[in-house]
Amino acid sequence: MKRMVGLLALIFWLWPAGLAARADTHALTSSSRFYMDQERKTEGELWIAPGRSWTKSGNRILISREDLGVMWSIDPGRGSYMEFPLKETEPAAAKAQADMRKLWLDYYLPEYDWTIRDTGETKDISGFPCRRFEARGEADFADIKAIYWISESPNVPGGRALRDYVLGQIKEDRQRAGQAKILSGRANAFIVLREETIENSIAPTMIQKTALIKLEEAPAPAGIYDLPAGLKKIEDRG
Amino acid sequence: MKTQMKIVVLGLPLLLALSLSAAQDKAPEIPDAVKIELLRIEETYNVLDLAAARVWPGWTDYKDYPFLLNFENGLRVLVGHPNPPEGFVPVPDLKVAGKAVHADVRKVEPLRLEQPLTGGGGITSYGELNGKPIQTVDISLGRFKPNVEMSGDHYRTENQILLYVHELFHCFQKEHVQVPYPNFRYNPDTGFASYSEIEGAALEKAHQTADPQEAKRCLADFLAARALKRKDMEEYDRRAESGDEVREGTAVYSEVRTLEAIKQGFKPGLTPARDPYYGEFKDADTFLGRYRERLAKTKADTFNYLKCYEYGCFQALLLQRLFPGWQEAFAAGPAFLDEEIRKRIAIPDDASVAKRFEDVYGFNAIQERHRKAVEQRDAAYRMITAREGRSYIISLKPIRQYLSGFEDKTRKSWSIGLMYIFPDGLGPVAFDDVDFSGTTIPTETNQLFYVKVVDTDWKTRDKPYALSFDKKEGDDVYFNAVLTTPLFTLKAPKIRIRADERRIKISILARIKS
Repeated sequence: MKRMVGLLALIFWLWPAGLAARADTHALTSSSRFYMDQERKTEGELWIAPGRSWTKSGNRILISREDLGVMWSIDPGRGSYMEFPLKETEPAAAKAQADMRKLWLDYYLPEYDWTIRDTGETKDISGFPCRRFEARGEADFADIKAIYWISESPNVPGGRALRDYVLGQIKEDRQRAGQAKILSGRANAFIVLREETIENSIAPTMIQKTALIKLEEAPAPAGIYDLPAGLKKIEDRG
Repeated sequence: MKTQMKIVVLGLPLLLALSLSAAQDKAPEIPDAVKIELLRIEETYNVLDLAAARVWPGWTDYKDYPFLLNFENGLRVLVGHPNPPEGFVPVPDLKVAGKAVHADVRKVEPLRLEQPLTGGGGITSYGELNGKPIQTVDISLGRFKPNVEMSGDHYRTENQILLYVHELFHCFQKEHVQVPYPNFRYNPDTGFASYSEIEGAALEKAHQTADPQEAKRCLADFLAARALKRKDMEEYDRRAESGDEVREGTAVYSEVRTLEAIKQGFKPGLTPARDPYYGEFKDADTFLGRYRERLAKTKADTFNYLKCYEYGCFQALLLQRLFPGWQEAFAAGPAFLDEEIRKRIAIPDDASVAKRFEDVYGFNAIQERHRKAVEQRDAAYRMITAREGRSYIISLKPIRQYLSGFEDKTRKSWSIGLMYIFPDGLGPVAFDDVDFSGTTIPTETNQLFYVKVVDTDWKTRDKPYALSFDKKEGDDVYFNAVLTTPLFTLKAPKIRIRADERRIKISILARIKS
């Protein structure tokens, strides 16, 4: 009986620990952006759990919490954060009904037509067997040329979660619609390397690369999806 | 002084010489026109040594920011940059107020630079030092445009120096005059345009009168018109508009205050012998008068939602005249000019406002004029966006050529943001070795660099275009090309064509035949 009580006590104590040790998806990335003659390199880290995510890119941290309906953008250096509501984007109003006052045609949102080509070329990147896709997005006053190396290996730990997370992040992003087109038709696909040359309407050409360095399932650090204490909230001014 | 557009095409040898010299890390040869521009930056420092403290308390950092000069031929020059990005090589025999000069000649076209050169630009992060971005004054310089010349506004070096003062004040703003809101974007409707004109007229009257009480009465009108204009605007837009007035208005104010300081006594460092377009600010009053002219012109413009330059400047000038010390509010953190006025002057009641607006400013006639203009603009927008068919889009972005310099201002046009609608088509555009025949089909120009025309009869055409050229490179680049479409003809030394069934995109890659 004593042994039974002891075991129950152990399970009782282990149960919350077991919850905390749930395997989340963990990814490390390496990015570079070449813009106006300057290359900036950034290391990134990502934790994904159902309905929540934690992203660190350079000095910025983003935490997304579907259960609270918010996203926090944290600047640890300044000890501050901004809070944004997570909400479904309303469908864009038809042009004929648009409010002329707010029809900001100087704030140009390109409507890209995407052409995707599966080149058939394959190679291993960061330990993942990948396939090369080329994408071109053409809009009236902008264009994007991209190369995506895609892994389609089934049962890669974290692969499906990463795919779903990325698709969720880019669903309203016109510049990333080429990626969405590739991923949405492939259940096991996730991007290992992307290289994009973005020709904006006015701004100089931007070349950006992001490589997935590591992908795994692992227990997330405790409280990582919570807003750290002691930060000052600042207003979002767009 | 009558200026003429001058262009001299040089042969390939100079281009090769420049490239070779860069490749060997030898000092590139810098054209005289560029050296004159550098002298103007030096003279800007001289001007600000005199004026900066009178413009804004504590403005002393004007020599701390590098300049990036982008010339029309592709030459780029950096002045005083602590860590020039790759491609820039030192020009050891040139200094600007003791600051190093670097040049990047990798993309120079065989187009000789000659003064007068005029420019525009802004502040940008260019390069890094110890991981920190470098705030840089980024200026694009091109030939003085014929349409500006036709308006009688002759080239003067003083304007270029005032532009540099303006941009350096933007650098100062970063830490000292904070503007937390992004740019205002708004297409005026009748109400906005009408009350906006009253705002401008009230500022004008307040500035003109020597009587402080009358000036304050006019500022009350300004506040009342602003309140009525903003009745249906979102809070975010209101703040963005006021923010732009701080950002651009105080920068224009820095120009005016600089001129006022110069009037009190100024010793030029630059001479007309070294820069023939420089009049040493001897006629400072003429330049000061231009700001009043600009206010008068801008206030009545139906579609200009960026009146922040003039309105912000004149609010600041009136605060300075009527309420010295007003800048203290900005030292404490973000502040708005209109709010500073509001703190000191009450808005009159609604009943008296309507009568005064009609009696003093003729509000009903103003409103009727703007109503007609807005109706015409909206009709033009509906017309151009309803055109469906095959689009032809010409891009001047690769050669950094804005279209605004070439648009025929006598043609009927309507603007919505950066979109300009030409219901009767765009006239011919010719520069260097580029020749666009023009078209009578409704045309839009957009995003500064692009022309777009839509062929609604495209299904009846055999081919979207005919093309002749001297040489082809890769799949889509053509040299000395003549592109003939059903709507227009385009001749250019080098173009890229990317086409699908409904969209033909033509990028002009060179302006001069090589």
